[in-house]
Amino acid sequence: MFSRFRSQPQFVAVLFLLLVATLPAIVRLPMSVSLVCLLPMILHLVPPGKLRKLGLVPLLCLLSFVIYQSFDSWFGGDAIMAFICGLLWLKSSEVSGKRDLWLIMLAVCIVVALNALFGISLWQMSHLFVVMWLLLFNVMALQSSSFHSAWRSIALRCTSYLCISLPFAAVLFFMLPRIPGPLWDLGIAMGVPVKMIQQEQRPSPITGTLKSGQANQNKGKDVAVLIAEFESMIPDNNTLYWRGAVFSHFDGSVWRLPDGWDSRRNVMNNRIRNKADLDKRVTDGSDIIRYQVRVAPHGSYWLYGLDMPFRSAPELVLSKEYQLMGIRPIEREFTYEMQSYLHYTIDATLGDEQRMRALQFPIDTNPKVMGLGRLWAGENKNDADTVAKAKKWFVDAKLTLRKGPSENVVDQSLDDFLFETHKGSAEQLAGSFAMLMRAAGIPSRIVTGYRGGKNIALTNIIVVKQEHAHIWLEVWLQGKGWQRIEPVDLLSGMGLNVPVVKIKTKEKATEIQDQNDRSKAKKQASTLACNKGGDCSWWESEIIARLSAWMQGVELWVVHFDAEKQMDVMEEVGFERGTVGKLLFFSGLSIVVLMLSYMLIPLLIASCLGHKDREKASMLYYRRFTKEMARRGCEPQEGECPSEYEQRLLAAFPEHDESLSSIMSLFIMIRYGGEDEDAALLTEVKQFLATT
Amino acid sequence: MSRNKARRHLALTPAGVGWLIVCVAAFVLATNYNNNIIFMFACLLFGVWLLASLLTYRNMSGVNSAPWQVTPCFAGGVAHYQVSLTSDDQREHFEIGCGQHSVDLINGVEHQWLHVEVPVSARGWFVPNQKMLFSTWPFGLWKVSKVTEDLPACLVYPEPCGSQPLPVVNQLSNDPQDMDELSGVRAYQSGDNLRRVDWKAMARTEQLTVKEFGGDESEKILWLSDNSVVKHVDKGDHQESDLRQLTRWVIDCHNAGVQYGLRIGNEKLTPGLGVGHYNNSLQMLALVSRG
Repeated sequence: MFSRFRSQPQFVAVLFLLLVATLPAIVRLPMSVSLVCLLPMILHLVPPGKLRKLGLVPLLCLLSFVIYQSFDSWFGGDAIMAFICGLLWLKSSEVSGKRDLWLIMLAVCIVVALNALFGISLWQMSHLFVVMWLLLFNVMALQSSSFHSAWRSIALRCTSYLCISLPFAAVLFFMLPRIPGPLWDLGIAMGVPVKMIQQEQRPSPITGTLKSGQANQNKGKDVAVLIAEFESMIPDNNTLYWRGAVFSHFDGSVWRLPDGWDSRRNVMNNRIRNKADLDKRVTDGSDIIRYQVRVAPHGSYWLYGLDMPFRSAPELVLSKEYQLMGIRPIEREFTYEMQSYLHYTIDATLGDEQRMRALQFPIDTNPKVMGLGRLWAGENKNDADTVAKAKKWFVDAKLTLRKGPSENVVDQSLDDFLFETHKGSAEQLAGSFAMLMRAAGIPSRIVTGYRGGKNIALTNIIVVKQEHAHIWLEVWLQGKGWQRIEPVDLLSGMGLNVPVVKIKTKEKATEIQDQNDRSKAKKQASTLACNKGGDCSWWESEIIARLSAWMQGVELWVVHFDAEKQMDVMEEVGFERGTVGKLLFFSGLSIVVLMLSYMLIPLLIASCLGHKDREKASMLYYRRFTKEMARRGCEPQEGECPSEYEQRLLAAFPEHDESLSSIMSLFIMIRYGGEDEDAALLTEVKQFLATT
Repeated sequence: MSRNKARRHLALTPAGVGWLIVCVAAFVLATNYNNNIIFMFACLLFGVWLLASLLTYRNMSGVNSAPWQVTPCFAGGVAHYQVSLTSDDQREHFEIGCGQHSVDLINGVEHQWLHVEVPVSARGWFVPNQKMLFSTWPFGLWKVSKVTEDLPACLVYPEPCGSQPLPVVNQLSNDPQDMDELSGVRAYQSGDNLRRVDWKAMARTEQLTVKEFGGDESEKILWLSDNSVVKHVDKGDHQESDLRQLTRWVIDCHNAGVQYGLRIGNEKLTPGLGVGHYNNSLQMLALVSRG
């Protein structure tokens, strides 16, 4: 059986490729499914013919049955992956020619791509490269008519070709404009109107109170709140904060809006009246972004703008808490143009009334929170240090959020949340941070709204749904105004490195983040290496640290490279943000330049080497032959004539006397007889090397 | 060796189209799920696809072909065309093919023969279609082809077949005009032509002797003629079947080293032996005008 396999090495190589490509899936899938996926391998033991083909049917049925039993749905990721893997292994058992091998190899690419959907990591990337190398090797093996004798050379060439193709891949990877997915709503990009928001599916209105778990309650509903279309590219989803109601009053368990918040008179009284007033309040605004918003009807005055909206529009006003409001309840879809600063300073000075409201702490509630806040206030010289301290404390506290709808409303105090259960709602998380700040004497408030949205591919449109409901808080710092703090990011440690002070440019933020990540990785790696090995020399730890830092860099620049980062890089090299056309043009141009240089460089090298005489072919083959013989312990000696060498060879390898005599006599004929027998010598040498 | 500077044509192979489809699928998947790993994989696939076009084109450039050569063959078989390939640079060229065969031009090889087999069915001059040299090396995603010089016409001999035995000398019409002068007499052997028995000498010596003309060879000359082929009523095309039978006889005679002459209709080939005569005979059979 195995001898038959050996007679088809290309086929065996494709099987190996298939095994490597499906390995992550096989490891991940339930064992029963994995076994059934690999079961078709036994068909290779059956002689080709009817019996083998008959064996395919029960195996296919078994595969379908096991998948049906093991997964909830046929269309789940794992079910699809299992089915594809199983089908490929089945197909491998009835391969009848090159075309089938090609089919398997191309399908392997899809398997690898699907595998990557289950996780993004350096290991995935390494697996991808291994599969890519094997794929190229197999493709080259299929093209070669002398695979038996030339597989080493094919392996080397395939490695070099893979390296040569990397610049192409790099140019495409870094320069090809990134289209934000998903593509399900591609019809909208093609001009189909965005689906109207249905009347019976209104988003939940703001009620004037904010209880624990309230935001999560509506997250399960697939109801659109607003649709925004940007003039330029959509900023990073995580930076889109759609500002809604601002809560300052807390009674110990519930946050409340002021009385009369939903009356037209209050709305009009509480507005920023003119541009001069707004300019006085909002200073240092930068990164202006323009967009149009369509808000779903909800029957109240609330409208939404990106944090921080700075320009009003007809029929809407901006409250003193920078909340957009309509002048009448929104009973039907309402569209308005808006502009926002992505970076800003607001309310650099704070009035007494505002300060009192933002420092309100209900008596006899949450004493531990109060105590901790006061402790920090005593320890730190300024408010910024206190905020930094609080952030670090939140990261270290290992708090977790309740996400399931059934766990939404839980009546527990902030003290319980922070010091006992460590598990709570988004409201409790933001509220506890705000109250800690208040206890430390730093004004704070809760802001509700939405974060992010769903991008519609190939458009600048984003759909914000109820599921994007979000809560964050603002703290007021002397001279810096209200600063947004994202408590959810603190749970993952992400928000820790972002300085509280205003970030001037995003590049700087990225740089700081990168530096922090690198140094952290280096430190961690060194510690890990030394802990693990017990005693490791400085250079070992240095190497591990450098390697780890390099891998961290790769992860940052390759695995996590996204549209935003691409824009940042392009901006650094002098392109404008959002110029997709230019990106496309320059990526195309780069590819053309690369191709031209690949064509010209060999010509240049050839012209440089052109003066060198061509070595006689026979000498090349003879040298190849003697090299192989030397490897086998019979090296030609200095001053030894070919016939003497032949005698030694015959004595050393009597089993190959015919081939050796033939090769040596051909060489002697060519070298000393002037015969033109290069091709014959080549054939002999090749045959000899292949057969031995 | 003449240099062939014909233009090269680059085209996608079906595998190349499949590869491209996989690239697009990977791009779509990467975009849809915002997955960088898939995006990188798609870029790699596309990079390889682009590189393959360059490598394949480069593999074919610098390869020159000499004029095609062909040797005559028999109908029903294959015409073996061969062309000598050379490289005008120091590079290696892999899997340069034509039809089903391919060769490598390894660094420094003076030339390499590439063989192409073309099936032939009818006798006469066979004019094949133009052939292209091509290469899909290294990945089989692209195919670079290059028109070679026109293939020469191949002389196709009739297919040697027929089970009739070689005509026996005395049953054949040996032509006395072609015989030489009397060269001597020898003792009679069984099977000798009775006409050549020297009756006068027998009367004198009472021994049976036969006359020999033009040396000993005169006895072995066969005249192969279409008239000597036994005609079968049920066979449609008598001419072609006669020619096939004659071809069979010519080959048999040549293999047996028997001197033979050929006569078809009014055309005649004087008796002879050797490869030249053999080729001339077959050529004559191949080019008999169809009647």
